Amino acid sequence: MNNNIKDRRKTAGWSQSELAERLEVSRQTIIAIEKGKYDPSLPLAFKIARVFGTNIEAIFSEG
Amino acid sequence: MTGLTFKKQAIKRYTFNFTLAVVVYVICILLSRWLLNYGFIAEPHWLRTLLAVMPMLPIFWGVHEVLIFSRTLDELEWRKMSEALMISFLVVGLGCATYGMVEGEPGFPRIGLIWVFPALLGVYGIALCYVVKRRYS
Repeated sequence: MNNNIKDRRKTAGWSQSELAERLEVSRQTIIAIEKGKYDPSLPLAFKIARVFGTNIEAIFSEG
Repeated sequence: MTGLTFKKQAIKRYTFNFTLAVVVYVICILLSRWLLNYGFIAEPHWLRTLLAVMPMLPIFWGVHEVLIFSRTLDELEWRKMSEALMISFLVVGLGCATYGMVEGEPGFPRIGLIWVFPALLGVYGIALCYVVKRRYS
């Protein structure tokens, strides 16, 4: 699964640590998700979408 | 309190309590071996048994601390830990079963069961490094 979290995070001006804190996960988890090494669970995906003020489809895509 | 602050406090608490449990374990095992090996307590048998298993008490405390700390892990940390535990379980379990088939034969001395748990922990540590580096970094 592909995602555009890194781009959205940079647009928002957040560091990986800041995003991790907002999502209540570790920084390593953010790194793994951004690199596409780990696909988050549905609850975490919803949380990510909520943090960026959009929906899941705008962030994640099949690939 | 933010999630990260909570996590930092959890790490601090876990590090302190787990280290303390290890220190108490070392003291218990030295005391237990000293009392048993130098014949200070020869009888009754139940007291010797109790002294022999006494070091398990701080171990249970340590396990309790690990369980409390595990509740603060996020989903990827759980996944890494679960994969490492599964590798450790299979490697040590199958290794023990394989060795059990040749144990006692020439060149294959009997190995005490006390080494099973340290082997599980050791392989878990190596497996965790492998899982983190190769799969999620």
